[in-house]
Amino acid sequence: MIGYFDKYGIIRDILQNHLLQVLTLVAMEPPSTLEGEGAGNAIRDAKVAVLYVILWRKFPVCLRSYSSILTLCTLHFFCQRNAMDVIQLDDVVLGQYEGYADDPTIDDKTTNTPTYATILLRINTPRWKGVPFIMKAGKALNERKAEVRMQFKDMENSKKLFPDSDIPRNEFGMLACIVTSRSISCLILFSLIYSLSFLYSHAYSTE
Amino acid sequence: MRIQPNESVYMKTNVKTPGYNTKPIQSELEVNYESRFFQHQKDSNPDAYTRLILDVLQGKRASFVRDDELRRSWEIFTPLLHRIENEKVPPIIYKQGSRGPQESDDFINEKAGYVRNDDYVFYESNVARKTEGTDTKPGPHGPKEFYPKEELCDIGIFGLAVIGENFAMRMAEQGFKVCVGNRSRAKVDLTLKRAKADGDLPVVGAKDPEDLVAHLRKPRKVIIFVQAGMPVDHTISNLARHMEEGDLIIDGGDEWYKNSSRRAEFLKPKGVHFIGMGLSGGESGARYGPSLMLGGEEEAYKLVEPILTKSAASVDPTGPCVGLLGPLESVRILELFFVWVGDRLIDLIFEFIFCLYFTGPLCKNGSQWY
Repeated sequence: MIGYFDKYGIIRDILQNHLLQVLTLVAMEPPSTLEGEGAGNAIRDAKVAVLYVILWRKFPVCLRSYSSILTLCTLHFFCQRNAMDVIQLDDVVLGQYEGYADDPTIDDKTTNTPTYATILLRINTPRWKGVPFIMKAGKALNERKAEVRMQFKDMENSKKLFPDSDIPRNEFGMLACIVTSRSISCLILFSLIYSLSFLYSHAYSTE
Repeated sequence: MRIQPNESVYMKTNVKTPGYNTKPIQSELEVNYESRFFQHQKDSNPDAYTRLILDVLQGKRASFVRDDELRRSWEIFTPLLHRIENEKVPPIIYKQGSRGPQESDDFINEKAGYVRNDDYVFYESNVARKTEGTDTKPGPHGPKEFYPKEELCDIGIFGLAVIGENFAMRMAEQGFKVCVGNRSRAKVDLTLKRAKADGDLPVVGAKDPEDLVAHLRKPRKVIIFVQAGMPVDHTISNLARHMEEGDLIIDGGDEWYKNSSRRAEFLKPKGVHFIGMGLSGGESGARYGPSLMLGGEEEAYKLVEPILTKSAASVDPTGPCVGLLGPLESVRILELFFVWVGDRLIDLIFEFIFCLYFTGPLCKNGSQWY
């Protein structure tokens, strides 16, 4: 049953809801609390703040230097008219898999409904300055998974230290954050405090 | 951060190559929820919707979308959606089962400077998930690479410790083309060298589990000889991911029978057969003819019977020392006994029984020795 999907497309089906949820959780500033009565609203306040700063792009450049959330909200209500699109068409790659329209439940055989989309977003805060956020989702792909992938920037003199090309030479500055989903339909929220470990004896035992 | 399947957090990192080499290589720091928190417990990570419904009952709101959140999120997307629909932007056609359109990778590279590095792929430390669903279904495809038919091998061996290496030699000597794989690549090269020295035996090396699977003729048959416990789970999940219905995995190690049952259950939905094998005879036995005890389904055993029959020790009056003993668990329990007693002691025990038999106590008609 893909017929229902044809009316909506992958952006409404996955990106606007599932992936945007993951993105706001990853990009939000720490909420004031995670436990107790106010936690629900504290987390969601932090998430909504991310949406506001994404929407910042709607406003003319001269007004963007006001960075407090309150100013943004005010701007938001008064500047609706000459607003620009937050996501321009060249920030998007759309795809459709071969044979999608052949499905018997799809009436329109010339359908343009995307089954794959990559969208680039900018989050206009000092923390995420210059870090592109990419959302990517598709149907009928090679893998079935949902993940957040972050790539760090190249270190200054890294090419000299690690001339070998298959070794990533990264320092801890974010280069890009990619949120992906490949034909999945739900989301798990987690917070984690746990130390990562690496044991030579475990990783390289000679089996 | 992997959200589905197998929730985990991992970070690729460079470490020094173990041993004398100083070259950095890639590895990862990881926490896998299933293996870290749930492996030795009865319960598993609750399903997302299970938790969500509990949140509803308890009035917890954090996981739900608030009205202003919903409005803002549509504000971000609606203008774009209208433009796409009004201007009838044509989507790029991509193949089913691919990574999606190439243009998307190019776009990310160009706009974000993100370079996809797939030299090293994070392997899932995969223990069978109790939550129904995502990762046990058959993959749409076998391995990515294809080798010409004449290069394909009869059987694969993964894990080249003493037994694995020697048994590979034995099978190759019996005229079967064997493909060998190991987690660390160095051992594969050593084995290939040894095969060459032992008389140019038909042994082929694979660089990873996927490559190993790609090297095999259908139905694919792989024997694994890795350390019991987690490494077996890793190996099975890495192999099974690229295998197809009707293929076969044989666990050649000693293992607690409950683990074996669990793995068989894990492979069932994929249609990959799983049988257990006990190999007796030690290092020299594996090289010059071991005794093989198998446990599993008859149908699966039939797939490897010709290969194993030829590779097992052959004794003149009784024939080859190989057989299907019963269900999967039976072999595991027999192994327990063997591991416990040790091969040498078994000789002694049977010697003792024979003595009793022939000298009287176990024989109805008295001694027949003389």
